[in-house]
Amino acid sequence: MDPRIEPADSIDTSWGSSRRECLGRLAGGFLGTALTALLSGDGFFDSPARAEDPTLEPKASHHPAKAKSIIILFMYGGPSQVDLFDPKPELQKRSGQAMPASVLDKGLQARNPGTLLGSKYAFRKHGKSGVEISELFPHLAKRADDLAVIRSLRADSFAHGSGLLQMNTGFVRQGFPSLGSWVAYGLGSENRNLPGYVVMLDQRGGPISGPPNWGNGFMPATYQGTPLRSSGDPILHLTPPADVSVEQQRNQIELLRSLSRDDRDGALGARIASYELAFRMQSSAPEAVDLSRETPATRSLYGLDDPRTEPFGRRLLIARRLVERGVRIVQVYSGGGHNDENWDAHGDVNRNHELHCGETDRPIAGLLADLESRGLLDETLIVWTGEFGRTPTGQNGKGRDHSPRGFSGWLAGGGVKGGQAFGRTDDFGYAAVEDVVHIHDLHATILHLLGIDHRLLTYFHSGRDYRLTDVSGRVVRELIA
Amino acid sequence: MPARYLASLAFLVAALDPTAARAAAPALSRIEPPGAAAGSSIDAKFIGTFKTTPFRVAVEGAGVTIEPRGAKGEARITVAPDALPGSRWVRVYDEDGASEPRPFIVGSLPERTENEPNDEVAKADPIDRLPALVNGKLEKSGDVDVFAVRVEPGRTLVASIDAYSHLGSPLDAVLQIVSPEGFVLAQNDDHGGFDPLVVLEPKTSGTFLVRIFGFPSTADSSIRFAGGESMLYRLTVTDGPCLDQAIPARITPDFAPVELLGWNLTTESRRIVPRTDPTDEGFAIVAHPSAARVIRVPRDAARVVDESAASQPLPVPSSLTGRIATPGEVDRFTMRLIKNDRVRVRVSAHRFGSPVDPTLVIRDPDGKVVADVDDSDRNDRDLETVVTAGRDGDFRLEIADLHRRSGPRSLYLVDLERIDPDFSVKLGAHQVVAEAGKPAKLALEIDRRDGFEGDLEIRAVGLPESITAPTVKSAGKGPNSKKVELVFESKLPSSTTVRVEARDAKGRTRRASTKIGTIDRPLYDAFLTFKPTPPAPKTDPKPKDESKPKSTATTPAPADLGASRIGVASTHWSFRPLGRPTPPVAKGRAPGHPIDAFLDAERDPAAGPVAADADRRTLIRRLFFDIIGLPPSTDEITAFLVDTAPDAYERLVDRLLARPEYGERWARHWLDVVRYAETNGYERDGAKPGAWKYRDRVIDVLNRDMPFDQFVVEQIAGDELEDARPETRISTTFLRLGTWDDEPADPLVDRYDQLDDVVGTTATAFLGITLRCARCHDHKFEPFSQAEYYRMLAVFEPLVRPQTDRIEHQWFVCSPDEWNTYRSEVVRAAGNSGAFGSGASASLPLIPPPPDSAYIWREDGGTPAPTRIFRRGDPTQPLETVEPGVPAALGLSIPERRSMPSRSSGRRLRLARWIADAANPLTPRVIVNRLWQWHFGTGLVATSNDLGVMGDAPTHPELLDWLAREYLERGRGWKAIHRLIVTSSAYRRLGSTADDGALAAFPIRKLEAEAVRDAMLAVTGELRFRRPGPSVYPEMPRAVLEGQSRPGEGWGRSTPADAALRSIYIFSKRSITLPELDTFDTTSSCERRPRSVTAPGALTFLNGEFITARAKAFADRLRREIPGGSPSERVARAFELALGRPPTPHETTESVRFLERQARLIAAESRRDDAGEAALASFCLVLFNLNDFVMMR
Repeated sequence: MDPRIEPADSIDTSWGSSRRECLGRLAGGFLGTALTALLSGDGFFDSPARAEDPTLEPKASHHPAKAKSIIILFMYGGPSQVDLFDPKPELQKRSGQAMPASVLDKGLQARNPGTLLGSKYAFRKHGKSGVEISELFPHLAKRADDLAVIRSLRADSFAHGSGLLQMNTGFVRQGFPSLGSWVAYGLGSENRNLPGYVVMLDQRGGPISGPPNWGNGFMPATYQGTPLRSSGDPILHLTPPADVSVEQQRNQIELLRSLSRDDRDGALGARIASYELAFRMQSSAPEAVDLSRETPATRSLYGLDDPRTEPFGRRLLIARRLVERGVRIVQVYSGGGHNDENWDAHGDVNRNHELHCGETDRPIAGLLADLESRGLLDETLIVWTGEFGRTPTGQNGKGRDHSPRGFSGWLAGGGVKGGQAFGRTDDFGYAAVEDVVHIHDLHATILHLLGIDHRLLTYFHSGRDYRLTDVSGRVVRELIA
Repeated sequence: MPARYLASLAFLVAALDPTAARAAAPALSRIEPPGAAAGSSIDAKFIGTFKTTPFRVAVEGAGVTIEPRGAKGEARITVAPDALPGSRWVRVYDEDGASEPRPFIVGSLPERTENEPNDEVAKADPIDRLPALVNGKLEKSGDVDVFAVRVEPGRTLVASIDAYSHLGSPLDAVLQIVSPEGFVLAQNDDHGGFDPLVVLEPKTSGTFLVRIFGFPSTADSSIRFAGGESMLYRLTVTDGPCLDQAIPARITPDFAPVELLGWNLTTESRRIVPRTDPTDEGFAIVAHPSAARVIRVPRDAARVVDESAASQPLPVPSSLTGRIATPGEVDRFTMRLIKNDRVRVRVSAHRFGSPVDPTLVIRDPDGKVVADVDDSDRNDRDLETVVTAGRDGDFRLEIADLHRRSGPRSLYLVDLERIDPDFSVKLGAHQVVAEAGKPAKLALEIDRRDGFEGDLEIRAVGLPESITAPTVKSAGKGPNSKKVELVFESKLPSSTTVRVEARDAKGRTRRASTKIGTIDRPLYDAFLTFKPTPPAPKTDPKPKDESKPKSTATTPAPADLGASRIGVASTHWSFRPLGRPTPPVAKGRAPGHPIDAFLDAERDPAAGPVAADADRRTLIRRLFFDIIGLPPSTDEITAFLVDTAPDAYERLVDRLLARPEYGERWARHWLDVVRYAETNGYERDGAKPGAWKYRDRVIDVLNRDMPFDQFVVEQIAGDELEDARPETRISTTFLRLGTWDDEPADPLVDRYDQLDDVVGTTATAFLGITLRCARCHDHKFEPFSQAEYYRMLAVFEPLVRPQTDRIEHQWFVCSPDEWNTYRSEVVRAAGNSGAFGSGASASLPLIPPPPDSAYIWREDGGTPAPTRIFRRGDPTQPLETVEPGVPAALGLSIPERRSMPSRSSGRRLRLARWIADAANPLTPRVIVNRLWQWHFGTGLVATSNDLGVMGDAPTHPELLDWLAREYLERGRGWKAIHRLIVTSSAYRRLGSTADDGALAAFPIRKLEAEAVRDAMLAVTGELRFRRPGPSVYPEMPRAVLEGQSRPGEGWGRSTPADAALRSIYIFSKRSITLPELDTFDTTSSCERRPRSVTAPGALTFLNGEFITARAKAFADRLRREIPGGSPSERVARAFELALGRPPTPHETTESVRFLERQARLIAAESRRDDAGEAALASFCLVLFNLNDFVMMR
């Protein structure tokens, strides 16, 4: 809540030193008093929430939450389960043969008639629990006892667009609020100086379909995800234009307040208060993404000392800083753009996954270790998934096609029963056959860990109450500690 | 397979037994009426199959005498005056056995029977005296029963239903209290079970309607309104004392008086001594002769503790009744346990009608959570758990309500019991039949709980001497530990009831019982029949019974539901024909504007006076923004201020309505309704080529004030009209504006998703009904069947989406003749040049330009594919075929097909004409309600897309109907309605943000994103006016484009002049939006814009490229217009231009001081010599951010 003044040379932004100092003073001085007056007592935040004046005021959960925040690691493109978390001896043994007809369904036959392709990578049991993890994740493997690996995820779509939408919103169709919007709507935000729901995209670009993946759907814009960049201006329009100093802007806000002195009630007062908040965000958001005060050890933990892991590691380190500052939902994408810029390994799964695993393995393990050492792992839920998995059969020889019938993901941290592999796919890793966890079930479980009963979190729209989990969803108790 | 084998063997044996068919026991399906008041005598009818006349009856429970009288099941039932209220079990029996028992209920109120038909408000069955108990029946599928009751003010009306849990009706009833106008005032469907209870505290006296309908208790995919011979219910209605819950919720056997919760309770009905029910072990009855409803309270020997005594650790075992009195309250209790103690904790509430949905957390003495329980299972909101103490100490229980609800009725019951190995016994059958002289075997199931392994002695009690049954033993382990048989013998034929008891070594006795259907009272009496030995068969017996119907239960016919739900439909306000209300005339006052007359008549005089009239400056600004979406220029303001003619305002209204900007403003409202956007969404978010032609058409239609019903028809079927023209065909773009996945996971599902979008949007946009729910099942709340959904879908089934793989095409909007001409000319030209593609360039001039096209569907003619109903909406599970049609609830028929000029099926034209028919009451109501919403921010019906049963009721129903009539009678253009609304006094008052719904002041609200952007461009003088054509692309910040998967893709670059066009002409892309529009809740589809206030939005308005450039342009304009002016002159001019008024002295002082301070600061920071100019731009930016600029005041 109390943004500190950082050394002037700390980050690479257009912020000059004088401006930075100014901002720091502002935060403690003018804004300190103005905001205290505005926000305390019967001010803006205590006004009753109406559908028309959506707020991010913190709200009570349905039941005691196991996790206060959630970091969603989204492996866009679709990581291959049989190369990462789901070892299949039978697949290795019968590599090169046709997939048995008993396993196939029409969808796969139509799309990709390739033959079985064994994984190049060795799996070993790790940790006390002996969870099996591929050699592609040597660092993550050391955190095996933290992970509740789900080997039986199921999605409904073969295509990236609708697949991303479903993992993010529960629906394959467009127009529905994302998981983060539901959480923001259900729980509000703990930090008034930062957006409650933050999305960090890959340096190579966003996922396809773009903003609807973190959109508010039919809810008010208050609940949409705010894209946060890990370099430059973290939030759109956060910094004033180059020739406008913070001191100038302070004068502007003071004039705005002075000319609006009669606007105290409801919507009018709330609008003026939103400028004060925006102003505060100008100091707290750069502070949140400023990694200069992180120790070399921490930076190294996230792989910031290696150009390969630096971009993703930086995002994860920022994610930790955001969570520390009370941001409720942080979604971090690995992979953007097209083809091998993300996990969409149609051409050569080994080359593709060596690249993306190499970029993310150390940072993710670092995030888990760092959260643990700061006592945050117990109250932060980490979710790792893609929009679907990949086929056990080959495509173009060495590649793998999309496969939503059975794929892997994992949960760790707040409230999660780590050190287990849950669910099972068939002998080849194509379809989930035991303890199937549909995306609705995953969402129900995530909401449960955050203290929300997915059946009760509803939003009235177009004549009926909608839910993240539609008319489905089951809390997977086995994944909960 | 052994189970199946045995079952088929049993069937074989039954089939071979020559006596089996002849010796059928009687069957009793129900008693009508199923209950009577204590102290009354009634004629009842037993319905079932009985051979003997008169039939014989056995009753379990005292105080009810039944005298069978006739051959057809007639009987006289007499209930003793002191009979205990509650249930009795009744069976019919003869020498071949007994029927399954059916309940008969003794009540405490006078009773009567429902009078059918009472399906509609006009035919409501009047209940003349309260309290009343009505025995009724939802007698056929789709039945709705309506009763009329009169209530005086100050009384609370309570109505409740007994059907599922007391009568065993397979019914999940819904109970509503409805005003005579058809508004649902109260509704309930579950109250501690499937049976509902509603409460209403009417503000005024009057007649209210109590309405009952229901669903099958076992939900099926049809979800139709249930009905049938077995759908009995007992309706209790009272405005007098009515019992709800008892405190404590569990009593000890000493029968101390209990405190009662309820409604209209008197001192004497507030404390009652429960009465024992000798035939219902473990329960007591709480009833009062003058109070409605009876409470059944569990009773046992555990200690009952008062909540106030709960500061001490609770003893185990004990029971405590608590209350969640305040929102979010967590009640904490402790229990002292010794290590290894095992305690069962049960928290119940729902099962006795409390609204509490309990949650329980148990912490050990260290504070660690050892249990965290919500529901026991998905059908039980109450909970139960077992804790084992890991150590000695005080364990804490924390009880709360899952939904944080609270109140005086929020009681719960906590039961603590030590885990004590125990047992219970269940009757394997409700009767046993055997031949005299042969053994009759009664199977018993023994439930051994919590490790009970003791021996049990099981014996029959209450047997006549002629019947013997040796006691049997069940050992703790072994084959008879869970199942035993009691064997009865009798030498003579006889019939009797018998009870069975089990006793363990400690002397604990448990009575055997069983459950019948869903009825929540156990049955204790088993029925024994020893039949006479049958004579040996002489000849082959004739199988007489084959001619008889197999079952007496009526299977509901697979009726077509929409029509059968007209009982609800005809009473719902919006489906009724338009009224012809006349504006009320207030005594002693001259008749004013009709709209004000309606509003004033409804206004609560106690709420204080209405706001004063707005001043002229406020009014002209409001009117400009409202009608044309732009601020007035200073000249326009001056002209209005000096126009002293009495009709100055009216003439201003007319001038504005005549301006082309009117269409640009109001088209945007309509585009929201029809989900207009120019891309498809999803992965590629591909463009909808030529969709802008629809936007331009809407603008044109509104500017020409075309009758809107004509445009309704065009949008649905502009290609099928007799006088179809290119522009009417363009209007059908409406049908193709939805999102579209160009790479669908399942093409078949996608096809029906597309049609669903068309059906759903057509229904909400024009009719204000939510039809999409009926895609998978009959609409649960509205009178629309699944079949009706598919009939409407069949209307659109012939549509084909012009596309080649992922590439979308426009389709021709010329006439078929023109198209044919064009095609033959192309063919001829191709023929002349040899072929397309080779040396064609020389012949290209010969090919005429292609006719105009638009983004529309096409119909290919021929016989359309049949439309089928899909089971649960799944296109791979087709059911029966349906013909195109419209919902029957509106009671209108679809017009006849006329001759078609095109190859089209004509289906859409018939639907469109039906929607636009003058007799369709929804269409005009929906349209005028939308217009009202766009003028005042909230519609007369707040849910403007939903005027159905689940939508909001209108605040001023007569005004709505009056406006709808005016709309129809004034030529169905929008402009006449605009004129009516904006000339009312309600519209011309000073504004307030406190919207009271009664329009005592004009509701201040944020302008739409487009209007704010346009206003900035207008104030700076940059706004450019329209040329028709494709949409434009103002500059999108790089940071926004970076979030795309292919940054910049699908976003063009327009000239600065084009970028200064009004916002409605900006390319509307589903996946990215200009930030200055996005943060102001622009949207591609909604019934009513949300109005978010967010900090990122404020950032965009402080730091964004767009506002920065506008502020600079505004400063340039000020300098241009007042060269060398003083700061105060510039401030004054800026206020006039931006806010339409001069600044106040305070504003001038503050602004001038700002300009000076800012200029000094800028000069000091950057040593610029144009610091004054920069300061002016900085000031302009603040003006754009003022509430006065962005709010419609």
